[in-house]
Amino acid sequence: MDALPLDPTALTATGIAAAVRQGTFSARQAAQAHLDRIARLNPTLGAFTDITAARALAEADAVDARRAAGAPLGPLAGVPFAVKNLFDLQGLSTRAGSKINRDLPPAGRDAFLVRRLRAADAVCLGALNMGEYAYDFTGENAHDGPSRNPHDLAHMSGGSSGGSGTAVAGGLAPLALGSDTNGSIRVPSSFCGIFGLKPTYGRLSRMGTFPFVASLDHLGPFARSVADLALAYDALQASDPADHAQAARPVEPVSPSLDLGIDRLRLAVAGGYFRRGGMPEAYDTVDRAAAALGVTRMIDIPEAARGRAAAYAITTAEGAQLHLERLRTRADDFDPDVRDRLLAGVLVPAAFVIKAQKVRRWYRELVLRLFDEVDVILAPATPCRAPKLGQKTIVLDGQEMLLRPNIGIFTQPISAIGLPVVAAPLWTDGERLPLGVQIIAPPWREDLALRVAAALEQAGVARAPVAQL
Amino acid sequence: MSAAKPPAEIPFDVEACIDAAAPMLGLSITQAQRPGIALHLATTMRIASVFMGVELPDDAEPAPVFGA
Repeated sequence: MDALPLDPTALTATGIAAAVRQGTFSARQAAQAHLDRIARLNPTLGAFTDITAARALAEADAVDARRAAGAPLGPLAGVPFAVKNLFDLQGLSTRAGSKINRDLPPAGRDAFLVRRLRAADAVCLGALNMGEYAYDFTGENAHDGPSRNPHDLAHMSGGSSGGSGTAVAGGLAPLALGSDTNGSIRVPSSFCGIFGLKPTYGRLSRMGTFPFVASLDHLGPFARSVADLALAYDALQASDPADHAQAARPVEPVSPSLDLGIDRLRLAVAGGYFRRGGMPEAYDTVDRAAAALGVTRMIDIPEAARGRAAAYAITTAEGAQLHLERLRTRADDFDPDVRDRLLAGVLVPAAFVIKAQKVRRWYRELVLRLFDEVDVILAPATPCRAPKLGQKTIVLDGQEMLLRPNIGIFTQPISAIGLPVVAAPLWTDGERLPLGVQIIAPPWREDLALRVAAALEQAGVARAPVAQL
Repeated sequence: MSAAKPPAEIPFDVEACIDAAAPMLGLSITQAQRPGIALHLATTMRIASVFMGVELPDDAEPAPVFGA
């Protein structure tokens, strides 16, 4: 290929769509540039498990043909994207990070959200690595190997949408989709230094994805700019009667309000629970974001520990029930770490799980009252920067504890009640790895979280550079 | 809604639970699996003690979404 005036892999989704529309480069050239970078870097990074090169080029050619014919192009014209491998892609078995699911027949059609991106003229590059059955915060996978942190290859990408974090931060795709049950969009965003959006529970259809915990599962986008998150989120919104948990909400575009600023917003930092159990850098990250936004108020999110505990118990039991038959017949085909958690989960008595669901509702009512006083709350996304691959324990508040369950201590109380959150990455001079801040809004107000994230990005405080590889 | 009590240890015999419940669910637990299961079950019970003390009225509704 002749040298292009711009390297598509260095651009945001917004930049690629504009360049394709203007003819600076074609959709095929954008797809090929990303496929070339994937071929060069994926053996090291472990982001992709399935590369759908022929599909990507065919979809790109269709976009170019429509442009040549003068037909209107979608908002994501020629933008390459990839999806966590729990999303159905036509013709592929939906492995959900497992060995067992590779025996499933190939999916007959794409997941609903993949079809939404395709309808916006985005181009599918393939499926991305993830923790087995999404029960993971590390980005490690016993069957496919780890998805590595592009900013330091010895470190975790975060999970369970680890490949999504690796691909976007590594410049293998400007846009990716993932899932978040207890933090699996926000943790990789924090560890890999990219923006992630976990929308309100029930906002986006989950049809055509392999579940983890139906009571808590969310889907959402990752990108390297806030405008890209908004562009993708607007394309993803649509009613799907097939998802019974999807709320009856109209499409509410967020891109038009992205630059409204924060002057009229009441912002606060989460105190109490969210100022304990993390490394000092987690609080420093939030404080720097707060200072940039002029936030001086600190509020307590009441009963966050109990809300988090309820989500933990629901996840343990509901996530395990999904796999009971596979645990009976194919226990040795699971990642042993995941298998033992699932086997424990099926033994949890129902009385604990039902109480957890009642406490979750009680906690939700307490937290929603806060939004009478504030519009947006800032909190750390993770208690630490990305740990090293293979690390099993972490020292928090002077206590050594298991790493896997504790990476999500700050994300889990928020997804427990389905609040929308943008994770925004901040960097510290002298540190190779970033750390994210959660920007938490009331239900259905993704627009507010995105406006605050945009303000941080415009101030130069939050940014998501492509890793130097 | 009522206030919450401080966390209290839940009397829960992890080993007895594994012995009793696993066969009822058709699960054969191997010696290699047992320590991990016991660890995770004990962790879940410790975490459950954080919310089991919340006093709720009898008409408290659980959270799941269901549409008839």
